[in-house]
Amino acid sequence: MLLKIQEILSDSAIGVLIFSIILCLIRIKRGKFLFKILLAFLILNLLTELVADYFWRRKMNNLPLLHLYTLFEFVLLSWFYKIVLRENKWIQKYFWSFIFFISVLVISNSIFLQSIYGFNSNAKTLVQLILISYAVIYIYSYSLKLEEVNEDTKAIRLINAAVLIYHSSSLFIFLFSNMFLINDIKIHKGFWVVNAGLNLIFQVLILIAIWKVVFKQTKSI
Amino acid sequence: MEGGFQTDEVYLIMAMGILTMLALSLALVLFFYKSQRRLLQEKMIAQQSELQYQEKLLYNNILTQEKERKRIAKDLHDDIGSKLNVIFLNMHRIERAAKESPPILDMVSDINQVINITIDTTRRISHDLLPPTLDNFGLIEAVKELCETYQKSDSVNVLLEVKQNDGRLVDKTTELNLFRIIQELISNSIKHGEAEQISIDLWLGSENLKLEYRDNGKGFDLAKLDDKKGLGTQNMESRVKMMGGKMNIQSSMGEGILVRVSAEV
Repeated sequence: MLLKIQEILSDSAIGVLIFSIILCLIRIKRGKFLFKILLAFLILNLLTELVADYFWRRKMNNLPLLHLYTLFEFVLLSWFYKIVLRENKWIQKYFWSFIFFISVLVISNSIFLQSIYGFNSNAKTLVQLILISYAVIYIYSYSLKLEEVNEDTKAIRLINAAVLIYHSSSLFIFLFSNMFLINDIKIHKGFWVVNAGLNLIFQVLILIAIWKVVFKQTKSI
Repeated sequence: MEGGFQTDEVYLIMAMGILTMLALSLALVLFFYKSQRRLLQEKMIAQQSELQYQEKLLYNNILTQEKERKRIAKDLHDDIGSKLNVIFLNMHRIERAAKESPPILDMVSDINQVINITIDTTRRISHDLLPPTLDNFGLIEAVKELCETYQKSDSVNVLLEVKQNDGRLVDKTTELNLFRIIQELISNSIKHGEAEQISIDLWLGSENLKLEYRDNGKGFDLAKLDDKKGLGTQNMESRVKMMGGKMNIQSSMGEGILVRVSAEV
Protein backbone atom coordinates (compact mmCIF):
# COMPACT_ATOMS: atom_id res chain seq x y z
CA MET A 1 0.00 0.00 0.00
CA LEU A 2 2.78 2.44 0.99
CA LEU A 3 4.72 1.39 -2.07
CA LYS A 4 1.73 2.14 -4.26
CA ILE A 5 1.35 5.58 -2.73
CA GLN A 6 5.06 6.25 -3.20
CA GLU A 7 4.86 5.20 -6.83
CA ILE A 8 1.91 7.51 -7.47
CA LEU A 9 3.64 10.44 -5.78
CA SER A 10 6.92 9.78 -7.62
CA ASP A 11 5.25 9.42 -10.99
CA SER A 12 3.25 12.60 -10.40
CA ALA A 13 6.44 14.46 -9.47
CA ILE A 14 8.11 13.21 -12.66
CA GLY A 15 5.08 14.35 -14.68
CA VAL A 16 5.21 17.81 -13.14
CA LEU A 17 8.96 17.92 -13.69
CA ILE A 18 8.62 17.02 -17.37
CA PHE A 19 5.99 19.72 -17.81
CA SER A 20 8.25 22.29 -16.14
CA ILE A 21 11.13 21.36 -18.43
CA ILE A 22 8.97 21.59 -21.55
CA LEU A 23 7.65 24.97 -20.47
CA CYS A 24 11.20 26.19 -19.85
CA LEU A 25 12.49 24.92 -23.17
CA ILE A 26 9.81 26.35 -25.41
CA ARG A 27 8.98 29.61 -23.65
CA ILE A 28 11.75 31.14 -21.59
CA LYS A 29 13.77 33.63 -23.61
CA ARG A 30 17.44 33.04 -24.14
CA GLY A 31 18.48 36.08 -22.14
CA LYS A 32 17.39 34.67 -18.80
CA PHE A 33 20.51 32.98 -17.50
CA LEU A 34 19.03 32.38 -14.06
CA PHE A 35 16.28 30.26 -15.52
CA LYS A 36 18.75 28.41 -17.71
CA ILE A 37 20.49 27.25 -14.54
CA LEU A 38 17.11 26.23 -13.16
CA LEU A 39 16.44 24.32 -16.37
CA ALA A 40 19.77 22.52 -16.06
CA PHE A 41 18.86 21.56 -12.50
CA LEU A 42 15.45 20.28 -13.56
CA ILE A 43 16.96 18.19 -16.36
CA LEU A 44 19.49 16.75 -13.92
CA ASN A 45 16.63 15.99 -11.56
CA LEU A 46 14.62 14.26 -14.28
CA LEU A 47 17.53 12.19 -15.58
CA THR A 48 18.40 11.08 -12.06
CA GLU A 49 14.76 10.13 -11.34
CA LEU A 50 14.42 8.18 -14.57
CA VAL A 51 17.71 6.31 -14.27
CA ALA A 52 17.12 5.61 -10.57
CA ASP A 53 13.68 4.30 -11.40
CA TYR A 54 15.16 2.09 -14.13
CA PHE A 55 17.69 0.61 -11.71
CA TRP A 56 15.07 0.15 -8.99
CA ARG A 57 12.71 -1.73 -11.30
CA ARG A 58 15.57 -4.08 -12.19
CA LYS A 59 16.27 -4.50 -8.45
CA MET A 60 19.70 -2.88 -8.89
CA ASN A 61 21.28 -0.55 -6.34
CA ASN A 62 20.64 3.00 -7.52
CA LEU A 63 22.32 4.78 -4.62
CA PRO A 64 25.48 5.75 -6.60
CA LEU A 65 23.19 8.10 -8.50
CA LEU A 66 22.36 9.89 -5.28
CA HIS A 67 26.05 10.60 -4.72
CA LEU A 68 26.37 12.14 -8.17
CA TYR A 69 23.08 13.96 -7.92
CA THR A 70 24.01 15.51 -4.55
CA LEU A 71 27.18 17.01 -6.04
CA PHE A 72 25.52 18.49 -9.13
CA GLU A 73 22.46 19.61 -7.19
CA PHE A 74 24.76 21.54 -4.86
CA VAL A 75 26.72 23.19 -7.69
CA LEU A 76 23.66 24.20 -9.74
CA LEU A 77 21.54 25.47 -6.87
CA SER A 78 24.52 27.34 -5.43
CA TRP A 79 25.02 29.02 -8.78
CA PHE A 80 21.32 29.89 -8.82
CA TYR A 81 21.63 31.53 -5.42
CA LYS A 82 24.82 33.33 -6.40
CA ILE A 83 22.80 35.23 -8.99
CA VAL A 84 19.76 35.71 -6.75
CA LEU A 85 21.84 36.94 -3.80
CA ARG A 86 23.84 39.35 -5.91
CA GLU A 87 23.86 41.94 -3.14
CA ASN A 88 25.52 39.62 -0.63
CA LYS A 89 29.18 40.49 -0.90
CA TRP A 90 30.44 37.40 0.97
CA ILE A 91 28.71 35.00 -1.35
CA GLN A 92 29.93 36.93 -4.39
CA LYS A 93 33.50 37.11 -3.12
CA TYR A 94 34.03 33.57 -1.91
CA PHE A 95 31.61 31.70 -4.14
CA TRP A 96 33.92 29.65 -6.31
CA SER A 97 36.28 28.80 -3.46
CA PHE A 98 33.32 27.65 -1.41
CA ILE A 99 31.94 25.55 -4.28
CA PHE A 100 35.31 23.93 -4.79
CA PHE A 101 35.80 23.21 -1.09
CA ILE A 102 32.38 21.65 -0.56
CA SER A 103 32.61 19.68 -3.80
CA VAL A 104 35.90 18.21 -2.59
CA LEU A 105 34.20 17.26 0.70
CA VAL A 106 31.25 15.65 -1.08
CA ILE A 107 33.51 13.65 -3.41
CA SER A 108 35.84 12.68 -0.56
CA ASN A 109 32.86 11.44 1.44
CA SER A 110 31.86 9.19 -1.44
CA ILE A 111 35.39 7.87 -1.93
CA PHE A 112 36.64 7.51 1.63
CA LEU A 113 33.84 7.70 4.18
CA GLN A 114 30.60 6.32 2.85
CA SER A 115 30.19 3.65 0.22
CA ILE A 116 28.64 4.74 -3.06
CA TYR A 117 26.27 1.78 -2.67
CA GLY A 118 24.90 3.29 0.51
CA PHE A 119 23.33 6.65 1.33
CA ASN A 120 25.68 9.61 1.39
CA SER A 121 23.97 10.92 4.49
CA ASN A 122 26.97 13.05 5.50
CA ALA A 123 27.26 14.82 2.18
CA LYS A 124 23.53 15.01 1.59
CA THR A 125 22.91 16.54 5.03
CA LEU A 126 25.73 19.05 4.51
CA VAL A 127 24.39 20.06 1.11
CA GLN A 128 20.86 20.34 2.47
CA LEU A 129 22.03 22.54 5.34
CA ILE A 130 23.86 24.78 2.84
CA LEU A 131 20.77 25.05 0.62
CA ILE A 132 18.60 25.80 3.65
CA SER A 133 21.10 28.51 4.59
CA TYR A 134 20.88 30.07 1.13
CA ALA A 135 17.09 30.14 1.40
CA VAL A 136 17.20 31.69 4.87
CA ILE A 137 19.75 34.30 3.75
CA TYR A 138 17.43 35.23 0.88
CA ILE A 139 14.51 35.65 3.27
CA TYR A 140 16.64 37.64 5.69
CA SER A 141 18.03 39.87 2.93
CA TYR A 142 14.64 40.82 1.58
CA SER A 143 12.33 40.70 4.59
CA LEU A 144 13.50 44.10 5.83
CA LYS A 145 13.46 45.90 2.49
CA LEU A 146 10.95 45.96 -0.31
CA GLU A 147 11.92 43.93 -3.32
CA GLU A 148 10.86 45.16 -6.73
CA VAL A 149 7.80 43.08 -7.44
CA ASN A 150 7.53 41.59 -10.90
CA GLU A 151 6.88 38.09 -12.22
CA ASP A 152 10.58 37.19 -12.04
CA THR A 153 10.90 38.06 -8.36
CA LYS A 154 7.64 36.27 -7.58
CA ALA A 155 9.04 33.20 -9.33
CA ILE A 156 12.33 33.40 -7.40
CA ARG A 157 10.41 33.67 -4.13
CA LEU A 158 8.45 30.53 -4.98
CA ILE A 159 11.61 28.64 -5.93
CA ASN A 160 13.22 29.76 -2.69
CA ALA A 161 10.19 28.60 -0.72
CA ALA A 162 10.32 25.26 -2.54
CA VAL A 163 14.00 24.76 -1.72
CA LEU A 164 13.49 25.72 1.92
CA ILE A 165 10.41 23.59 2.51
CA TYR A 166 11.72 20.49 0.75
CA HIS A 167 15.25 20.44 2.11
CA SER A 168 14.20 21.38 5.67
CA SER A 169 11.51 18.75 5.83
CA SER A 170 13.55 15.96 4.25
CA LEU A 171 16.69 16.77 6.24
CA PHE A 172 15.97 14.19 8.94
CA ILE A 173 15.03 11.54 6.40
CA PHE A 174 18.41 11.71 4.70
CA LEU A 175 20.23 12.22 7.98
CA PHE A 176 19.01 8.85 9.23
CA SER A 177 18.89 7.17 5.82
CA ASN A 178 21.84 4.85 6.39
CA MET A 179 20.34 3.66 9.65
CA PHE A 180 17.48 2.15 7.66
CA LEU A 181 19.94 -0.04 5.82
CA ILE A 182 21.88 -1.01 8.91
CA ASN A 183 18.91 -1.70 11.18
CA ASP A 184 16.50 -2.93 8.53
CA ILE A 185 13.71 -0.84 9.96
CA LYS A 186 10.55 -1.44 7.99
CA ILE A 187 8.98 1.87 8.90
CA HIS A 188 11.43 3.66 6.62
CA LYS A 189 8.97 3.07 3.79
CA GLY A 190 6.62 5.55 5.42
CA PHE A 191 9.35 8.18 5.46
CA TRP A 192 10.17 7.62 1.82
CA VAL A 193 6.50 8.17 1.06
CA VAL A 194 6.78 11.44 3.01
CA ASN A 195 9.89 12.30 0.95
CA ALA A 196 8.02 11.54 -2.27
CA GLY A 197 5.19 13.81 -1.12
CA LEU A 198 7.60 16.60 -0.24
CA ASN A 199 9.31 16.17 -3.61
CA LEU A 200 5.95 16.52 -5.35
CA ILE A 201 5.28 19.77 -3.45
CA PHE A 202 8.76 20.94 -4.46
CA GLN A 203 8.12 20.22 -8.13
CA VAL A 204 4.69 21.86 -8.08
CA LEU A 205 6.08 25.07 -6.56
CA ILE A 206 8.83 25.14 -9.21
CA LEU A 207 6.23 24.64 -11.92
CA ILE A 208 4.12 27.54 -10.62
CA ALA A 209 7.26 29.71 -10.56
CA ILE A 210 8.09 28.86 -14.17
CA TRP A 211 4.46 29.39 -15.19
CA LYS A 212 4.53 32.93 -13.77
CA VAL A 213 7.66 33.80 -15.76
CA VAL A 214 6.51 32.18 -18.99
CA PHE A 215 3.06 33.72 -19.03
CA LYS A 216 4.37 37.14 -18.06
CA GLN A 217 6.46 36.95 -21.22
CA THR A 218 3.44 35.93 -23.26
CA LYS A 219 1.45 38.92 -21.99
CA SER A 220 4.20 41.35 -22.93
CA ILE A 221 4.46 40.17 -26.57
CA MET B 1 19.34 -4.56 17.81
CA GLU B 2 22.60 -3.11 16.41
CA GLY B 3 23.24 0.62 16.34
CA GLY B 4 21.83 1.41 19.81
CA PHE B 5 18.59 2.97 18.59
CA GLN B 6 15.26 1.37 19.10
CA THR B 7 12.74 1.43 16.27
CA ASP B 8 10.35 3.65 18.16
CA GLU B 9 13.05 6.15 19.09
CA VAL B 10 14.20 6.53 15.49
CA TYR B 11 10.60 6.87 14.35
CA LEU B 12 9.92 9.49 16.97
CA ILE B 13 13.07 11.53 16.30
CA MET B 14 12.53 11.50 12.58
CA ALA B 15 8.83 12.32 12.77
CA MET B 16 9.45 15.16 15.20
CA GLY B 17 12.36 16.39 13.14
CA ILE B 18 10.35 16.40 9.92
CA LEU B 19 7.37 18.13 11.48
CA THR B 20 9.50 20.71 13.26
CA MET B 21 11.52 21.55 10.19
CA LEU B 22 8.39 21.66 8.02
CA ALA B 23 6.67 23.98 10.50
CA LEU B 24 9.75 26.20 10.78
CA SER B 25 10.21 26.47 7.04
CA LEU B 26 6.51 27.24 6.46
CA ALA B 27 6.62 29.84 9.23
CA LEU B 28 9.67 31.47 7.68
CA VAL B 29 8.11 31.55 4.22
CA LEU B 30 4.88 33.01 5.61
CA PHE B 31 6.84 35.57 7.63
CA PHE B 32 8.66 36.64 4.48
CA TYR B 33 5.50 37.05 2.43
CA LYS B 34 3.79 38.94 5.24
CA SER B 35 6.73 41.30 5.73
CA GLN B 36 6.90 42.02 2.00
CA ARG B 37 3.18 42.71 1.95
CA ARG B 38 3.48 44.98 4.97
CA LEU B 39 6.39 46.88 3.39
CA LEU B 40 4.42 47.21 0.17
CA GLN B 41 1.39 48.53 2.06
CA GLU B 42 3.57 51.04 3.87
CA LYS B 43 5.10 52.13 0.57
CA MET B 44 1.65 52.54 -0.98
CA ILE B 45 0.43 54.57 2.00
CA ALA B 46 3.51 56.79 1.75
CA GLN B 47 2.99 57.21 -1.99
CA GLN B 48 -0.68 57.97 -1.44
CA SER B 49 0.18 60.61 1.17
CA GLU B 50 2.74 62.13 -1.17
CA LEU B 51 0.19 62.19 -3.97
CA GLN B 52 -2.43 63.79 -1.73
CA TYR B 53 0.11 66.36 -0.61
CA GLN B 54 1.05 67.16 -4.21
CA GLU B 55 -2.62 67.44 -5.13
CA LYS B 56 -3.29 69.71 -2.19
CA LEU B 57 -0.30 71.83 -3.20
CA LEU B 58 -1.62 72.05 -6.73
CA TYR B 59 -5.12 72.98 -5.56
CA ASN B 60 -3.68 75.64 -3.29
CA ASN B 61 -1.69 76.98 -6.22
CA ILE B 62 -4.81 77.18 -8.32
CA LEU B 63 -6.78 78.88 -5.54
CA THR B 64 -3.94 81.32 -4.96
CA GLN B 65 -3.77 81.97 -8.68
CA GLU B 66 -7.50 82.76 -8.78
CA LYS B 67 -7.21 84.98 -5.73
CA GLU B 68 -4.40 86.91 -7.37
CA ARG B 69 -6.32 87.21 -10.61
CA LYS B 70 -9.29 88.57 -8.69
CA ARG B 71 -7.12 91.05 -6.88
CA ILE B 72 -5.36 92.20 -10.04
CA ALA B 73 -8.68 92.44 -11.91
CA LYS B 74 -10.11 94.52 -9.09
CA ASP B 75 -7.03 96.76 -8.90
CA LEU B 76 -7.02 97.22 -12.65
CA HIS B 77 -10.70 98.13 -12.71
CA ASP B 78 -10.89 100.16 -9.52
CA ASP B 79 -7.48 101.85 -9.45
CA ILE B 80 -6.02 102.05 -12.91
CA GLY B 81 -9.33 102.05 -14.74
CA SER B 82 -10.77 104.83 -12.65
CA LYS B 83 -7.59 106.94 -12.90
CA LEU B 84 -7.56 106.53 -16.66
CA ASN B 85 -11.14 107.80 -16.67
CA VAL B 86 -10.02 110.81 -14.65
CA ILE B 87 -7.24 111.47 -17.18
CA PHE B 88 -9.83 111.17 -19.97
CA LEU B 89 -12.11 113.68 -18.31
CA ASN B 90 -9.25 116.13 -17.77
CA MET B 91 -8.26 115.76 -21.42
CA HIS B 92 -11.83 116.89 -22.28
CA ARG B 93 -11.28 120.01 -20.13
CA ILE B 94 -8.03 120.70 -21.98
CA GLU B 95 -9.87 120.18 -25.26
CA ARG B 96 -12.50 122.72 -24.28
CA ALA B 97 -9.87 125.20 -23.09
CA ALA B 98 -7.73 124.81 -26.23
CA LYS B 99 -10.58 125.26 -28.76
CA GLU B 100 -8.70 128.07 -30.51
CA SER B 101 -5.44 126.18 -30.83
CA PRO B 102 -5.56 123.46 -33.53
CA PRO B 103 -2.08 122.03 -32.79
CA ILE B 104 -3.08 121.47 -29.15
CA LEU B 105 -6.45 120.06 -30.24
CA ASP B 106 -4.63 117.59 -32.48
CA MET B 107 -2.36 116.54 -29.62
CA VAL B 108 -5.33 116.18 -27.29
CA SER B 109 -7.14 114.07 -29.89
CA ASP B 110 -4.13 111.73 -30.23
CA ILE B 111 -3.80 111.46 -26.46
CA ASN B 112 -7.56 110.74 -26.12
CA GLN B 113 -7.21 107.94 -28.65
CA VAL B 114 -4.41 106.34 -26.67
CA ILE B 115 -6.35 106.77 -23.43
CA ASN B 116 -9.43 105.13 -24.98
CA ILE B 117 -7.36 102.21 -26.21
CA THR B 118 -5.73 101.92 -22.78
CA ILE B 119 -9.10 102.01 -21.01
CA ASP B 120 -10.45 99.30 -23.35
CA THR B 121 -7.34 97.19 -22.91
CA THR B 122 -7.45 97.56 -19.13
CA ARG B 123 -11.11 96.60 -19.14
CA ARG B 124 -10.41 93.60 -21.35
CA ILE B 125 -7.49 92.41 -19.23
CA SER B 126 -9.52 92.84 -16.07
CA HIS B 127 -12.41 91.03 -17.68
CA ASP B 128 -10.24 88.17 -18.90
CA LEU B 129 -8.70 87.77 -15.48
CA LEU B 130 -12.06 87.43 -13.80
CA PRO B 131 -15.25 88.06 -15.76
CA PRO B 132 -17.70 89.90 -13.54
CA THR B 133 -20.54 88.15 -15.39
CA LEU B 134 -19.48 84.86 -13.85
CA ASP B 135 -19.68 86.26 -10.37
CA ASN B 136 -22.87 88.23 -10.94
CA PHE B 137 -24.91 86.08 -13.31
CA GLY B 138 -23.42 82.60 -13.21
CA LEU B 139 -21.66 80.15 -15.48
CA ILE B 140 -24.05 80.05 -18.44
CA GLU B 141 -24.11 83.80 -18.90
CA ALA B 142 -20.32 83.98 -18.53
CA VAL B 143 -19.82 81.24 -21.15
CA LYS B 144 -22.32 82.96 -23.47
CA GLU B 145 -20.38 86.18 -23.13
CA LEU B 146 -17.11 84.32 -23.78
CA CYS B 147 -18.53 82.72 -26.92
CA GLU B 148 -19.78 86.09 -28.19
CA THR B 149 -16.33 87.59 -27.71
CA TYR B 150 -14.82 84.94 -29.96
CA GLN B 151 -17.68 85.17 -32.45
CA LYS B 152 -16.96 88.89 -32.87
CA SER B 153 -13.35 88.14 -33.79
CA ASP B 154 -14.56 86.18 -36.89
CA SER B 155 -11.66 83.77 -36.60
CA VAL B 156 -13.75 81.03 -35.06
CA ASN B 157 -17.39 80.12 -34.76
CA VAL B 158 -18.29 79.10 -31.20
CA LEU B 159 -21.71 77.54 -30.60
CA LEU B 160 -23.05 77.08 -27.13
CA GLU B 161 -26.00 74.82 -26.39
CA VAL B 162 -27.36 74.50 -22.86
CA LYS B 163 -29.00 71.08 -22.82
CA GLN B 164 -30.00 71.21 -19.19
CA ASN B 165 -30.20 74.09 -16.73
CA ASP B 166 -31.55 73.46 -13.25
CA GLY B 167 -30.33 76.79 -11.90
CA ARG B 168 -27.04 78.18 -10.64
CA LEU B 169 -24.44 75.82 -9.29
CA VAL B 170 -24.16 76.35 -5.57
CA ASP B 171 -20.39 76.11 -5.50
CA LYS B 172 -18.81 79.20 -7.10
CA THR B 173 -15.43 77.49 -7.19
CA THR B 174 -16.90 74.74 -9.37
CA GLU B 175 -18.42 77.36 -11.68
CA LEU B 176 -15.07 79.12 -11.91
CA ASN B 177 -13.18 75.86 -12.54
CA LEU B 178 -15.56 74.85 -15.32
CA PHE B 179 -15.34 78.31 -16.84
CA ARG B 180 -11.54 78.16 -16.82
CA ILE B 181 -11.63 74.72 -18.43
CA ILE B 182 -13.80 76.06 -21.25
CA GLN B 183 -11.53 79.10 -21.60
CA GLU B 184 -8.47 76.86 -21.84
CA LEU B 185 -10.12 74.51 -24.34
CA ILE B 186 -11.12 77.39 -26.64
CA SER B 187 -7.67 78.91 -26.36
CA ASN B 188 -6.06 75.55 -27.29
CA SER B 189 -8.47 74.99 -30.17
CA ILE B 190 -7.53 78.34 -31.68
CA LYS B 191 -3.81 78.33 -30.89
CA HIS B 192 -2.89 74.68 -31.51
CA GLY B 193 -5.85 73.10 -33.23
CA GLU B 194 -6.46 75.98 -35.69
CA ALA B 195 -10.14 75.17 -35.39
CA GLU B 196 -12.80 77.16 -37.19
CA GLN B 197 -15.80 75.59 -35.53
CA ILE B 198 -16.27 74.89 -31.83
CA SER B 199 -19.35 73.49 -30.16
CA ILE B 200 -19.98 73.50 -26.43
CA ASP B 201 -22.80 71.52 -24.86
CA LEU B 202 -23.61 72.03 -21.20
CA TRP B 203 -25.76 70.06 -18.81
CA LEU B 204 -26.16 71.76 -15.45
CA GLY B 205 -28.29 69.56 -13.26
CA SER B 206 -29.00 70.00 -9.59
CA GLU B 207 -26.84 66.98 -8.74
CA ASN B 208 -24.37 66.75 -11.57
CA LEU B 209 -22.89 68.68 -14.44
CA LYS B 210 -21.57 67.67 -17.82
CA LEU B 211 -19.61 69.43 -20.51
CA GLU B 212 -19.09 68.20 -24.06
CA TYR B 213 -16.62 70.19 -26.11
CA ARG B 214 -15.88 69.59 -29.79
CA ASP B 215 -13.79 71.34 -32.38
CA ASN B 216 -12.94 70.72 -36.02
CA GLY B 217 -9.26 71.47 -35.62
CA LYS B 218 -6.31 69.36 -36.70
CA GLY B 219 -6.44 67.16 -33.62
CA PHE B 220 -3.46 65.39 -32.11
CA ASP B 221 -2.01 61.96 -31.38
CA LEU B 222 -3.45 60.93 -28.00
CA ALA B 223 -0.56 58.52 -27.39
CA LYS B 224 1.81 61.48 -27.26
CA LEU B 225 -0.41 63.44 -24.85
CA ASP B 226 1.14 62.02 -21.69
CA ASP B 227 4.66 62.90 -22.86
CA LYS B 228 3.83 66.40 -24.04
CA LYS B 229 1.16 67.51 -21.61
CA GLY B 230 1.31 71.29 -21.38
CA LEU B 231 0.64 73.39 -18.31
CA GLY B 232 -2.81 74.26 -19.63
CA THR B 233 -3.85 70.62 -19.91
CA GLN B 234 -2.39 69.83 -16.49
CA ASN B 235 -4.26 72.80 -15.11
CA MET B 236 -7.50 71.50 -16.60
CA GLU B 237 -6.95 68.06 -15.12
CA SER B 238 -6.27 69.55 -11.72
CA ARG B 239 -9.45 71.63 -11.91
CA VAL B 240 -11.47 68.55 -12.89
CA LYS B 241 -10.01 66.69 -9.91
CA MET B 242 -10.82 69.62 -7.66
CA MET B 243 -14.42 69.33 -8.78
CA GLY B 244 -14.26 65.62 -8.01
CA GLY B 245 -15.03 64.91 -11.64
CA LYS B 246 -13.69 63.01 -14.62
CA MET B 247 -12.31 64.20 -17.92
CA ASN B 248 -12.11 62.19 -21.10
CA ILE B 249 -10.27 63.41 -24.20
CA GLN B 250 -10.69 61.87 -27.62
CA SER B 251 -8.73 62.99 -30.62
CA SER B 252 -6.78 61.82 -33.61
CA MET B 253 -4.83 63.60 -36.32
CA GLY B 254 -7.10 65.57 -38.62
CA GLU B 255 -10.20 64.65 -36.62
CA GLY B 256 -10.46 67.51 -34.16
CA ILE B 257 -11.02 66.96 -30.47
CA LEU B 258 -13.83 65.79 -28.23
CA VAL B 259 -13.59 66.50 -24.53
CA ARG B 260 -16.09 65.29 -21.96
CA VAL B 261 -16.09 66.55 -18.41
CA SER B 262 -18.50 65.32 -15.79
CA ALA B 263 -18.81 65.86 -12.07
CA GLU B 264 -21.27 65.62 -9.24
CA VAL B 265 -22.21 68.85 -7.51
